[in-house]
Amino acid sequence: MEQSSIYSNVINNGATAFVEQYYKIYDTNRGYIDGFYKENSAILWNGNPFSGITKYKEFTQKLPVSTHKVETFDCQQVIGSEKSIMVNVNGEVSYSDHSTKQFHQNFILMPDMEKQGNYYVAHDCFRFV
Amino acid sequence: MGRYNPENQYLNLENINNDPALGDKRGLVDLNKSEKLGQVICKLIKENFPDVKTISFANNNLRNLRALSKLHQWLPDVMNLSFQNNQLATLRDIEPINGDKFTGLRELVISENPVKDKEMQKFGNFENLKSQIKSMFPSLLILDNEELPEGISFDVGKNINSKTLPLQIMSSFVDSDVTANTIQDFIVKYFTLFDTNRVGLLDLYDDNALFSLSINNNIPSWRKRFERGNMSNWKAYDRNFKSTRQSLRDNLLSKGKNAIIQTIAKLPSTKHPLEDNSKFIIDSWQINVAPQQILIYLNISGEFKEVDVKLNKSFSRTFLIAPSQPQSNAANAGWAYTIFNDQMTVRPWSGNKSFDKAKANPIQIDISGSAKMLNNNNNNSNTSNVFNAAAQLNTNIPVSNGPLEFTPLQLQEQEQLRIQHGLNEIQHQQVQELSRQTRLTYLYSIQCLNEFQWNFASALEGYQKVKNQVPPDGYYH
Repeated sequence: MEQSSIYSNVINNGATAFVEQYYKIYDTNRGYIDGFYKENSAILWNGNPFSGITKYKEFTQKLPVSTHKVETFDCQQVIGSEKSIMVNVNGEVSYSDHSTKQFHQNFILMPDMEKQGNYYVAHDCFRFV
Repeated sequence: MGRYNPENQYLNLENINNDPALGDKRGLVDLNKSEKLGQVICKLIKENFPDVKTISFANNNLRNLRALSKLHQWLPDVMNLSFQNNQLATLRDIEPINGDKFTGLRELVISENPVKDKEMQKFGNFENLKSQIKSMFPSLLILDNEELPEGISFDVGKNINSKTLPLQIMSSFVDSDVTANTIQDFIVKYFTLFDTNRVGLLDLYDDNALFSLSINNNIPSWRKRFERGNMSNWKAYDRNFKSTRQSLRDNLLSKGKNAIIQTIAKLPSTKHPLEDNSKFIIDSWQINVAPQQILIYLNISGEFKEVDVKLNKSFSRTFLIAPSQPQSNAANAGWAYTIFNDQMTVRPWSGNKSFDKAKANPIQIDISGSAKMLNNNNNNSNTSNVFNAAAQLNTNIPVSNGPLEFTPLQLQEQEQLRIQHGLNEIQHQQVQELSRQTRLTYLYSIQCLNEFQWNFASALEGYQKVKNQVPPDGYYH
């Protein structure tokens, strides 16, 4: 019981740090966004699928400058997995053309087998809602 | 003057004639008496609060709105107006607010005016009033906290795709027909039970399943800010990390099917408009979370009516779903799948304007009817497509479009057998699919599935072994 509560704290803290870093880099330093993903990441942006970070990064370079305001986030351990985490985010995003939209974004974070202790975004589903 | 809230871009002009700041001029600011006074006020607002989006003229004893007939010229960006608790008696009293030219107007409040009482006496509801107001104010979306019926509208100028975004918004995304069939089945059954009998969802959740809820109070910028979103009925279960203390988070995560049902049974009653496909956006694909574990990753956003307060709310929900194991509670209860993870976000209503005009993706899902699969054969040879874990997953929900079409007579006979054997809808579909794939009759297909505890894959495999022993009348010809 104690063990699991320690692990849930690790997950909660990890997810909190991830959400903070992710949107900060997306909004201010998008050239580094590939650090969160890998070539086998599945990324969906408003119904447009990207297989792997290379193609998605090309796309993000064309997106106008953004400001994400996170209103809610929450995380859960993925049942049936070794150590995967599901992170759920809702908020508002403004682009430099002054359009403001609400968004829902969900991430599946998985341990990176090639780098001990590292996680990466294995699945990413983003929608204007 | 303390009446303007810059954060919400909200100007409160309620009961202005009694404002203590007027001193001995109190009682002289009567908007009924002078149209000129109205113009002066509009000008003052424009000069002092050019960013205003929402104005409340509540409690001003207004008998008509002639004084505000130029409001749209001075303040074309205002989106929300309240005339709550005034003396407006007919639609003609409201007409001076020029709806045809006030194209940014989204929300109007006229509650507590005689016009509403008269409508209620005459018609017993506000449907007539709603459609009259909609034709006077074509851009209006909400009247007195209720969504207005969609008028006839054209795409011009309403393009959801901002010019500067490099890609179009696309409709619901599904990676394969197998996924589409499964989630279509899942969504309709899950939300029907969620609306009518949440306890009935018990066996659908895995023994280790997790559920948590986040409450987003933010009202979309294009809607008004007269009030907070009124999420109070949901607040007790809010696990939002932005607002919930760390020490409480463990308790706000429901673990296991019993705890989950206890939590969701206490949430306010809902009604999801499943009959209207356009109100939902669904993204789903298969994911591999462990060597032997493939899950369906399902994201759905849309709306429901919160029944007790008669207001619409918007929601987003993410499920991770696994095929149900033979002999599990889910399988025994006739579910082909089981829920591992369930995350829900509820927020003030924001409608479907972010996605309802989106361009169609190749595989479409239609929760209001049966699947419409376009480009069914569109298996392009893009081997690096990480979205297609596909077809490895057997959720027992068969892909339709099998080789065999049933005749009306056969369908009639099947319905009788279905009732005789007390089959539920999932079982019925399994039987039909087995029949399609093997040409076994409906009755023989029932017997075959029965022998294999309604596990479709086992039944199909079992059939292959004994097919030489099936008598000729065991087949459809």
